[in-house]
Amino acid sequence: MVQGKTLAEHLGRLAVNLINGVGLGICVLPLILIFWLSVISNSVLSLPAEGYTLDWFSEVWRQPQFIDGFYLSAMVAVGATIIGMIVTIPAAIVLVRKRFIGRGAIMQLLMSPLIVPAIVIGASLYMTLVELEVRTGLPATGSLTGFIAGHVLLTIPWCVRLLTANLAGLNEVVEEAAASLGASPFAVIWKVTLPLIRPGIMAAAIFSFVVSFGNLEVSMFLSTPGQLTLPVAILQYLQWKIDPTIAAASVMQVTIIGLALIITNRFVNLSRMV
Amino acid sequence: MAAVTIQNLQKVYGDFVAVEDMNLEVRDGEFLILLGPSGCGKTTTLRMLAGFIEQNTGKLEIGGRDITADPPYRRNIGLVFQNYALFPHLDIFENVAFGLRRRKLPEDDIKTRVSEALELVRLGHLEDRYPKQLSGGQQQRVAIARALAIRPDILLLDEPLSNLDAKLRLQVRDELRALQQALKITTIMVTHDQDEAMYVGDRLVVMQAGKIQQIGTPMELYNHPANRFVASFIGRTNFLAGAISAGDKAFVTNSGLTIETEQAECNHSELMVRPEMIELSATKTADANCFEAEITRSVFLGGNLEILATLATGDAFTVVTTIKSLTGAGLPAEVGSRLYVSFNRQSAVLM
Repeated sequence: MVQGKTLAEHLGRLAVNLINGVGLGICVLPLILIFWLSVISNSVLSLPAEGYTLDWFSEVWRQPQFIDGFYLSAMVAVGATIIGMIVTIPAAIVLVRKRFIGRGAIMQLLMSPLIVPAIVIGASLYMTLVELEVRTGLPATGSLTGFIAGHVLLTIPWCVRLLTANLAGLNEVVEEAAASLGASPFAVIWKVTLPLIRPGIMAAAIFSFVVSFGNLEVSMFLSTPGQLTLPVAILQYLQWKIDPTIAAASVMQVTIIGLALIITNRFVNLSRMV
Repeated sequence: MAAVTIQNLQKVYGDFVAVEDMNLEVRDGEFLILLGPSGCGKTTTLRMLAGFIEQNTGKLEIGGRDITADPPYRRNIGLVFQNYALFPHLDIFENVAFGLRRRKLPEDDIKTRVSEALELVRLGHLEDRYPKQLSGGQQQRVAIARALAIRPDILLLDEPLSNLDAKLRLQVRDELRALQQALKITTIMVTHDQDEAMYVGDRLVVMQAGKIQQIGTPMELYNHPANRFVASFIGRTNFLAGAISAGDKAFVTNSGLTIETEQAECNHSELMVRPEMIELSATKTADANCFEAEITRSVFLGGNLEILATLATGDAFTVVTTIKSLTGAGLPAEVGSRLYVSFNRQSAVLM
């Protein structure tokens, strides 16, 4: 006969659920708070709420620095993603398929932007770009090229990690089969390898976009007056005015990143890859 | 379709000699088997032929064409792998068409040749399926069709049946043999399974430790193994240790049993008798070698019976026989029954 659960089992289960619930709550609470703050009618970002309004969202659109910032952030994110992919796909293929001296070192080098604090990367990039400006006279800081160059650095470790994981799971025999059927090394990559790691490529691309779009630390150093990414614009706005407009702008940014992650998850199980 | 010549082929990994100075001629249209335990160098040989492993020394020719320095994609060799290696992102038609598209054939020709190849393996109706939707046996047949579609000079098969379950293995094996016979394409297959090898192979190349031990038809290898390794690898064997007694074509085992043979060379220390060559009877027979024995083990194997007959000297013979021949001789297949084991001179082979 099947016995009912003992009291201890019930309590144990309750404790696990409680811990899970509290953990999840801590994770999503800031998000909920931002959503809430974006719709309160207080003129200063404060609680309790005096009433509710959607005006702050239209206020975002009346602030040119947010619109320009959004546009610049999107341009930088798309550019950094494309260049990041062009650089990391061949790198990942070589790192996974070839055995050579210094392979481990190169892998570590490509992953290093994850270890170095982003603010340090930002500061050193700034100094490098200023030096470049002085030497060549070309505008480097505040330029789209400068932003993209900086952000590519941030996306590389994510792309390399995602792509190498995907490639390692791909059976090499399939590539040998293609070669035996007359496919040149280039045709093998183009017709077999790349189509088979498409989930990894999609994941890496969208991750790059998200990392670049939400980045503040590096962008802060590269921005010049009139050339602000959205996170930098939000920070600047915050310095002289604290009203729910920034909450509304944040909600828009969070929504875009959230959508990107949901799309990624359709192609590849993110919780398994990262 | 072409003959294959392997000359002085050698592959060394550090201290390990994977393939040692191998020389082999594969005849045009022949089904040749590279047979041996794992690590014997058979797969390394096949992969050198395919171009995936670079040999240290040696020369490879297909139909008189020197392919030693050619990359895999210029060798025009059809390859079939153990795990099928179909392209999961392409449907069956495109899988088979893959090699034809690389050769930039016109679309009409591609259609015709894909259909032909799929008809050969009777899978024409599955053109628009994807590999995942097919059973293992079907996938391997698609892989065979894909390899044949490019009209390769030779076909290389790397353990093509090992991933299939027992029943399918027999079915695909039969088809493979029939197809090879019909197309008369020079085929080299690697396997560790001697039954499979004997069933499909015209000639078998038995390898061990990177060296060819013997080349021959299944019957040659079975009846006249070149050494103990071949004798034990191909089929089951009774080995008896002892020495030739000078001059009189008789072998005396260490336990004192005298066995008459056809051979008289002195430098042999072992004698082998195949289990199938031994006859069991209730009375003494006229065979040169006939000994009284007792059944000490009897195993029922369905069609066959495997009996261990032990002599008074302690020598034991494993005998494979059928129930029918046992009952015909009036013998009970029970442990403890007494009988005679006999075999002729030709069946006693010196090693």
